[in-house]
Amino acid sequence: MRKLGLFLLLSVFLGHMASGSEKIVLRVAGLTAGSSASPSGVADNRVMAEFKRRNPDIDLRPATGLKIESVGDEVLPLMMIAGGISPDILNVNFRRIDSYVRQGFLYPLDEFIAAEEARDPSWRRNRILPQIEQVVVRPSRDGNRHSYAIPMNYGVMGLYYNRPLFREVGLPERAPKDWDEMVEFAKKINDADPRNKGLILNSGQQSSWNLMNFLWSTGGEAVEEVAPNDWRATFNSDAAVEAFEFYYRLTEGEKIATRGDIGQMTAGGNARRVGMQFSYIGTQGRMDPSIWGFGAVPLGPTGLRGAEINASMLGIFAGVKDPKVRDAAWRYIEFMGSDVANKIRTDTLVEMGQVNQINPVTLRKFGYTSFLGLSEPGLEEEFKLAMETAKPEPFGKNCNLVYIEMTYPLDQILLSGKIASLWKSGKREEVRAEIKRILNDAVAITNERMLGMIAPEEMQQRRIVAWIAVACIVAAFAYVGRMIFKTFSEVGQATSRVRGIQKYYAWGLLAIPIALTLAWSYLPVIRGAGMAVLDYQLLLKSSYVGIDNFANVLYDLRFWKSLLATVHFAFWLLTLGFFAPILLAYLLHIAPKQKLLFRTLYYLPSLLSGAALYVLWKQFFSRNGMVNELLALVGINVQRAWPDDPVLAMLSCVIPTVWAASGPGCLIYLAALKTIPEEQFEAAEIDGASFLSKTMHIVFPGLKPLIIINFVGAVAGAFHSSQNILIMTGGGPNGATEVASLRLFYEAFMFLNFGPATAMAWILGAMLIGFTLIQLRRLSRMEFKGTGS
Amino acid sequence: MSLFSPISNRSASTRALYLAVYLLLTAGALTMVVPLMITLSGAMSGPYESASISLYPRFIFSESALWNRYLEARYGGAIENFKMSWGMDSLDFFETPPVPPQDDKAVALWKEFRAEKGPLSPHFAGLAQTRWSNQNASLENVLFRKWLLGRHGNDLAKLNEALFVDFPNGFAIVPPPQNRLVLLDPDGPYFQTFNEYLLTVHEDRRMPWNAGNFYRAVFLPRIYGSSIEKYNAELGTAYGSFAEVPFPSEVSEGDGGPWLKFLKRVLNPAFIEFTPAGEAAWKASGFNKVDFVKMNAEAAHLRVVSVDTEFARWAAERGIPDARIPQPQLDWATFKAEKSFWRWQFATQNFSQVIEEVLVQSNGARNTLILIVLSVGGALTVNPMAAYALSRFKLKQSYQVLLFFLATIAFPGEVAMIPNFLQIKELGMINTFWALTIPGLVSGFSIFLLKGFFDSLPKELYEAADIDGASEWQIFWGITMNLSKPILAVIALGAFTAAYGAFMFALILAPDPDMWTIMVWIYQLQQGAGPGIIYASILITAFPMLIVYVCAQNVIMRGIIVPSEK
Repeated sequence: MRKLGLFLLLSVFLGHMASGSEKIVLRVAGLTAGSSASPSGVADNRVMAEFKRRNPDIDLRPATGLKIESVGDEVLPLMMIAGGISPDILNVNFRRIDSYVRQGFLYPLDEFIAAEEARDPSWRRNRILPQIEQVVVRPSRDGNRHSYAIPMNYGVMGLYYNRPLFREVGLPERAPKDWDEMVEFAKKINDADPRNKGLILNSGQQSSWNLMNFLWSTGGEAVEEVAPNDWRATFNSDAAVEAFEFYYRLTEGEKIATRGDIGQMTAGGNARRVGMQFSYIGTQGRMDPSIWGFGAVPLGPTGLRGAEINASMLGIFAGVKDPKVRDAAWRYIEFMGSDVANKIRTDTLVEMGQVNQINPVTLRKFGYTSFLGLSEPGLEEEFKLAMETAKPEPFGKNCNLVYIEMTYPLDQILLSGKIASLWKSGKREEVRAEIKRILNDAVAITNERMLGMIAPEEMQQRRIVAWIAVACIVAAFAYVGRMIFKTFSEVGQATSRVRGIQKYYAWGLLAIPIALTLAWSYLPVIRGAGMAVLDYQLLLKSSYVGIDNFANVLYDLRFWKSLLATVHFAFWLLTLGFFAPILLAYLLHIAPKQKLLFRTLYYLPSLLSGAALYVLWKQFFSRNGMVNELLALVGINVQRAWPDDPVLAMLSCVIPTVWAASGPGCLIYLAALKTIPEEQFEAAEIDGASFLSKTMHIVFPGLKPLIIINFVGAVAGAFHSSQNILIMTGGGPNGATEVASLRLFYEAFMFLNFGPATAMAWILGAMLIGFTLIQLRRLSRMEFKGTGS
Repeated sequence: MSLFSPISNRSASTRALYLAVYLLLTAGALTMVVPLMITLSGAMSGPYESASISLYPRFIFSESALWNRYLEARYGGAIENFKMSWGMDSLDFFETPPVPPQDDKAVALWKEFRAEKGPLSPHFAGLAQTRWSNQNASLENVLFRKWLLGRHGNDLAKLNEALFVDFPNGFAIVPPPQNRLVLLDPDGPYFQTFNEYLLTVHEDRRMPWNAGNFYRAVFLPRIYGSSIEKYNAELGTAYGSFAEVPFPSEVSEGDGGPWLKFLKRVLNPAFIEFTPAGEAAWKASGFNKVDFVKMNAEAAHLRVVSVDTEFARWAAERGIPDARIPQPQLDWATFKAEKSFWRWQFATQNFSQVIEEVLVQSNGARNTLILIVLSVGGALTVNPMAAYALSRFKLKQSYQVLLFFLATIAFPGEVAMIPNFLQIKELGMINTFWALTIPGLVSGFSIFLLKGFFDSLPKELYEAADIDGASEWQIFWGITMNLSKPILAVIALGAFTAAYGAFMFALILAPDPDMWTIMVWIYQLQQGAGPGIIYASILITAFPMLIVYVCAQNVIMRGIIVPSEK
């Protein structure tokens, strides 16, 4: 009996071992970790369960369960690749695929596709739409073309219309057929009710996704391929001028369309008053059909139309070396886009009562023809129309720049006073000429950035300038370093020396902090410094480029503009943010009663955590948000959301910080005010000094050291804030709030130019060094006192 | 400690000054508090209320706003359920539906019908919730989850095993699909369990599957557009709206028109029975029921059996033609009786959802706590150690060392970001708490402040201690640390805030969900959530900070260090 028991135990153990060692571990991003109660969550779970059932030898592990929007979307995968903890399967989108390929992130899939085609000759045709072929097949670094990713589900852009609102204002229940009709519909909706927004368009960096509909519908293109994978921006053609002009007419000229954050304008109850908006319709998902009807993008003036087609794609991470894991990864990719998986998704949505979320084409494919009657009339035809004219989002070499680059001239045109006055006096020809001029300039800049290549003699000259600049930076660092060291040494010499055991105590206590500081502050900076002279690659071997990164940054107009924006930002932040706490502290100090109550009230905003604060204020600053509504009460009408207004955008970045930081910021001044000796006031009182003179001659001198120290710190701080601006404005409009640290962030994490980004950081650091010098020197002369009361 | 002596306090100009000060302070305080109140009000709002900004949720005082909100909750935010129950195409949740006209006779008739027939079978009436997203919590979901978990001894694993389901956590539990007018009834133990649950739910909270109203308010407008004209033209009728179109349970003559199309294309065959003629035709055809209904059946073969048709037939037997379920009146009556309950429910549900979802991730709270203890503990150990060494022992190099610590403030952080991450990876610290605590442990500025504070402590104390022969440890702990509590509190607060609020970093450095802190889970929850949930989560995460501030504010005030020129 005992033997049997032991045997059983042993076999269980061995069995466990065996199954443990056989399983291939596959790390996948975006495995849902939290609640999966939504229909699509349930569908994903079921698809995953089916995959596991079919592939018992694969052990799926989440690489990270979290999906981060905006910032994290760009940073997280890169960090994970850099850190060697990347998932085995990468999510790729159209605009980044080329840079992913050139950075060596993706493994070519040709062998796997060939194997599938041997099994099923129509495999490729079924999986990859002809419009997307050219996106999937990219030239690698050695110039050979391979397939790098497989699309999972498509989405094509169309114009959604608000069915209840169309009904309410007496419009036909369909999307407009062409531009004229779209204008007519939007006007009719606008006229019916002042709350209505006939057509909404996205502002900020999302603008281009709307703009492209117009551009393609005039026959224009954002980029064109002049040689194999050599792309030029072409959004200055006559067709493009017409598209931009139409956009101008819609938003500024005739104010037919409302520009802003679409997410906010359609959130919750806001959606009821929105007439039309551009958005995707997918094979699986779409906007809520109980409100939104779908139509193809309206035809342009020459009867053309173009709608963007997009898809989420999966590729295999090139860092996967084990062929078994690669094979498992392929099986995963193959399955996720397969009809089996799509059928499970469709079945789940049908079963959960989301029939009308599903595209009629999909319903038909999986045999749910009986539900076609529940779809809105004409949807199938509109979807077909949209697909016929679909073009992929720009995907070529460096094309990830284009959509962002196009927003600069767009903002510039929309905000141009010259165009506005020309438009008013009806000089359309001249309006077009001005638009053309702006677009020509923008295309020149974009092409220089896209090509990244400059004539050798020009480059030689830039290098010389860069060497001079670097010499200055080094000199600045050296000088400042010496100055500070000297200052500190002078102070240090005044003190006496210690001997014996105490010395060992001292160094013993200091050992750990010094070691940690070396390891986590100095070492990373030193390692990072090297990046400035490299064409830094996360995965491939970085090559040495010498001074070129500096040269390029110094000749980058955007960088200098961003410096200007930084100064502008710092000015407002300091004017509002720096003096507000001082004033507040003074008021609190004077107030004889209820100090604690006020102090607490002012402290409350700072309790909201960082990013949430800006998300909150972004809503307050929206076009019909709290701030504009309050201003309207006192007769000031602001027509734009603050982040879209060239003047107010900067304030919208500053005000939340001031709001949240005044309460905690005033505490130190409050404490300092208490340290001013009472006798001084009594003496002044006897002399009959006024309130003002007491403020000027007693209070201000008392606070001066603190003010200076804090001011220097605040300047340095203003130069380093980027995340809040990113959330609020993304740098727009037309780069008005694109501060240097944000520029740096984009350079590094959006465009993967880590080398130039590091060079930028050093130049920025050199400019700040003066402030740092003042701060450190002052600090060395200060003594610190607890207020103790 | 006042700027003015008692005498001048009484003068007119001083009073004017005080008045101005208080006016300014109050105005400032309003700008502080108003956005917070809007946040609070937003946290209580539902998905359709977010369009209007207000200082308080409108449903608190306005009955019509509450009525709107109630209906939205009653029908789980699913407009089609609402339309199906009320039989009107033009309804939505954006604007308050009208208070239904009183119709006591219809209500009495319905009550009589219900009293006669006994409890509604699960086949005839479901649960009117379909809210799956995290836009807002659904009370029905919560109640069902509690019931189901309670039945299985609050053991999710047991529940999953017994009902052949696969819920990753309690929060993911949702009732099975509800759309029974259109779908075939699902099968299996989970579905049966849900049917049992339905019988325990009060009838007022259930939703009769109203085939006729679905036909009028959803099917016909989809086919003919929202206006009745096309329908009238095609069928030669003269109805004023779709609501007037009859939905007979059977059609004795003619081809049935859209009625038959509805039965064949859309209606769940479970609501269809055969007439005697149909029965015979079906038997003769050799098809199964569903295929026969979908493909071969003629209008005269079929009969609809749903609550509304049964009710109409029952009423017709009593001589009352075209009786409809007085759903609007029933809803209004329920609403009137439960107003205060719903007010409280709407005010609190987003908060309880956030709290529940975060607490479900039992590791989140633990991780946050560990992280805070490590960060605060670390900051309060390493930094005072260095500062003490610099302050107490007058090393020759002490200012150089201080500079060494302080210079780190000036480093460009962007340069160090990637190397920092690589280093964490190289040391194998990813997915450990060390990755989250160690790199930021030493703070040059903290050391600087502490050293300044330690320097300002009375020298006599140290001298006395030295004479008494106190050990270095005793001096450090008993004198220096003991007298520096306020500034230590300030440093602790800083470390606490950083550790509590760090989510992005926490995520990159610890991708494993087992290591996530509360903040990361909250962030996860906010993705794709409605504004109400986002506002509620913002306020809830601020709450611990508020507690800490309130408890520590006096200590903090004393710990503030004021620099002065030597």
